[in-house]
Formats: sequence, C-alpha cells, structure tokens
Amino acid sequence: MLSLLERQQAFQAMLLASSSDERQAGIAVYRNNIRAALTLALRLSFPAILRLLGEDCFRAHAARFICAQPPREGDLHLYGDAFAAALAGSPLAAALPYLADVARLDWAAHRALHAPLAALLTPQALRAAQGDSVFVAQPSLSRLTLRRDARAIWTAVLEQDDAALARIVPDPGEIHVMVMRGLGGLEIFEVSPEIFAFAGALVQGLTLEQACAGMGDAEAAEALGLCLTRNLFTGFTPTGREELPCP
Amino acid sequence: MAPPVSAGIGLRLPHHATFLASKPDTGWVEVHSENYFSAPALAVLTRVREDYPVSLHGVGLSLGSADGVDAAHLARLRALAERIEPVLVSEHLAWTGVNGVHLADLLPLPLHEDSLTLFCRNVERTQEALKRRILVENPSTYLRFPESTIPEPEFLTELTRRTGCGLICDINNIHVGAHNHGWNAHTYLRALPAAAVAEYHLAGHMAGDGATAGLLLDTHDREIAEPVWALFEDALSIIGPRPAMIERDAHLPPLADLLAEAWKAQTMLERSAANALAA
Repeated sequence: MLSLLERQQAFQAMLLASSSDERQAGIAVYRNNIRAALTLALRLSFPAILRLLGEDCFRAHAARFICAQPPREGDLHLYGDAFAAALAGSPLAAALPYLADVARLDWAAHRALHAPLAALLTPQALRAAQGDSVFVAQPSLSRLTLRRDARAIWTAVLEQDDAALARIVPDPGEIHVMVMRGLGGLEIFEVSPEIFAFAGALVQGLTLEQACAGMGDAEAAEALGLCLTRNLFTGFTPTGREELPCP
Repeated sequence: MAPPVSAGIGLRLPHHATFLASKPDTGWVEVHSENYFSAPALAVLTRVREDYPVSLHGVGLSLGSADGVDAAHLARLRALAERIEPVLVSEHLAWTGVNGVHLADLLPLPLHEDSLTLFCRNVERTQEALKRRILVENPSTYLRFPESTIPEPEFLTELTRRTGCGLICDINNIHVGAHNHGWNAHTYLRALPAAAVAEYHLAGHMAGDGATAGLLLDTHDREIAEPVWALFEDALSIIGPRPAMIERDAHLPPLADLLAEAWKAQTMLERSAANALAA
C-alpha cells in the first residue's frame, strides 16, 4: 500500500500534469476546480494583463503558469509574484515587449492594495533615531524599474481608454516608479534614478549615512525629503535588529 | 461561546457594502478565513463583528497533508481569530497539497488508520495554537482511494473522540457523496456522532457534464435543491437543531435571496426545536 505521503505526492503530480487521463471523472473535477480557482486568483491580480491578452490567451498562459509554479501559500492573495517573469519568458514577450512590465505593475498594485496600512513615521520617531538606525519601509511599497511605455499602457488599459492606448508610442526607455498604499488608496509615482537608488538603499537596510554616500548635501536633502513626504517609511530599527514590532 | 441555534449566511466580498449598509436580520455570518488575511477585507470584517457573531471557515489549512500544517498559515489564522474573536473556527476533512504546494481545492483523503493518526495530530496542533476547539466539515468528494479502509462517518467519529473537535455536518456534501459513491445518506447521518455536530451547512450543487458526467458537483453556485432541504429535515430529526449556514460562493444572487434561503432554514430549525420540546 502506498504511504499517505506517496499517495498525496502522486495525486498532486497527476493534478498538476499539463495533460492527464481525463476519462476518470473524479480526477477531472479536481483538475477543473484547481485550474478555475487559481486562474481566478490570477485574473484578480493581473487585470491589465487580462485585458491586454484577452480571455483565451490569458487562460492559456495562466494554465501553463499554474502547472509550472503552483501556489506555495494557502492565501491566494500571495499567488502570482512570479507570473510577470513567466510572461517575460514566454514567446509573447517578443511581440509585446512591455507585457512583463505591465504585469509587474499589476502585481505591485495588487500587493499594495492588500498590504496593511502601517503607521506613519512620526516626528518623535525621527528625533529618537540614532546614527545607526535603519528605516523600516511601508509593507505595501514596491520599487520598479519599467519601460516608459508600460506605465502608460497599464493606465490606459485599466481605464479602458482605447484612444489613449492608440496614441502611446513604443518607448523602451527606463523609468523608476514607486507603488504603495497610501492614506487615499493606491499611489504610483515616478522618481529620479538618484532618489530611486537612495530609497532603495534605505529599504535594503543601509543607514542614512551609508545611503547618502556620494551624494551632495542638496541632493541628499531632496531625496530624504521626498521619502518623508511620500511616507515611504514607518519607523526605525537599530542596525542588527531585523524589524520593529508591528506598528 | 457558540453561535445562536439559528440560520446564518456565508458573507462574501460582493455583499460587503450592502450588508454593512442594511444590517440584515440574520443570526450570524460565516466567512472564509483566508479572504480576511489581508488588511482591507479585515477592516470590513471588524465592522461586521461589531454587530454579528462571526464564524471563521478555513479552506487552506490542509489538515490532511502528510507533511503537516503550514506554520505560517496557522499563525495568520491565529492572528485573525485573536482579532475577530469568532464564535466558531472550522476546517475540512481534506488536504490542499504537499511538499509546500497549495492547490486551492479540498482534495480527497485516503481514509485509513495512518491518515486518521495524521489528521488527529494536525487537528490537535491547530487546537493548541488557537487555544480552542475547532470543527471539521465532511467534504464533497468525487473519487475514493482503494487503500481506504474506514468509512467517512466512522473516520469523523473517531476524529472527534481522539481530539475533542466538533463537526460541521454539510448536508449538500452528504447528498453529493451519496450520489457519487452510492452511499445511503440516512445511514451516513445516523453514523455521525450527534453530540459532536455543532453546525450545518446547506448549499447548491449541479450535475457534471462532459468529463465530469455522472457526478454531482458541490458548486455553491445556485439555490439549495429540494432533495437537500429534505435531507436537512431528516438531519434535524436524527441529530437535532444546530446553527445552520447558507453557503453561496459563485453566481452570487442579491443578498435578499440568500437571506430568504436562511429564513427557510430558520423556519425549519424552529419547527424542529418545537417538535423536540413537544416530544
């Protein structure tokens, strides 16, 4: 007799196989249920990709992705972080070079909208910060480097503005974008490469002094000012401690 | 604390605004736990909880997985339960994946002594983490494994005896299972430990077609069928009145239609309670 683990491994592999013997009605039910639930999760997380590709094409790509990279979490809000990379590696990417970046924007927006709204950085916390303190980023924050046309396409597609979509000129030039959940909802804004790098250094745990290395005083002040006014950070943790208690 | 012995509805996201605005007359609500792990939905549920008893019904804990319960998932469930203080917490006699995979469906468990031991261990671990008793629901199933040696109601009975957990008796799942596997639904009901049943579920189903022809599918996408209402009536006689939940997960009707089905269940519960008093 198969052990329980062996049975479950074999059953799972059968459900995830790209094709299987569908003559067994019971197997077909589970395969259909899984594909429907996971495709729905991807549809909800990638609305712009769904509209760009259309129903059939989206379903086909979702089906391949589900078989290749099934969820690793029971919470389906977390499923799909690798979908953009999968699209980047698909044959579609040659014809639609902006596609993966549109998917990354979809995912960043989805992630932001489902993240907790953390407390804002207070003047008291700023005063208490030490030289070796490390900024704690908003849990909803994503930093993206995208093709310039991808953001315009994403916006036009979600607004269903066909005229705007038709006017977009292909532009592979890079832009740097922050995506987060603010007090008023989803916030997406473009920043300079210097501010993008500065914020990234802080997000990755460098101290303020380290993040400012190589920057002039005015440049550093502008970068820090934007980080504070945009509420990119929620507090500080001393170097060496992994994170603050939940605000 | 338990929910009132009354009918409640499964509260789903498209009904949030209407529900909060109208505050309908329903005894309690049940939600899928995993839908409230993220912040915006949790804020809504917190508001609902101010006015209604809430039951947390999980679909992702995978109590039947041979590689155990996902600690991170259990931690999220515990955090949600601490925030919401639900009247009930429940899961399914099922698994959703192994080796770190979660397939988003309630997969059938081979029923034998090894799987019973494993399932009991996972239920005990969950109850210890949540510091409370949980309920386990009989699943809808579409195939059986040749190595299964324990009938499903006996498996559930032994599970409650070993772990102290309670049961959700899903009437539609019994109806679907009886059709798909040739069980006798009344024999199934009589084999359940009545004292452990703490909740009923009622939902709609459909007949499969194409590759799934010949099966009944537990789809939660339509009204409760008459044979299921009839089986509920029988369950009330055999097991007795318990809180009853109307489940709808797809093709959601207006909230008023769900409440009408809940009202029908409520009427049956009250009649059953009156009959029990008169007897």
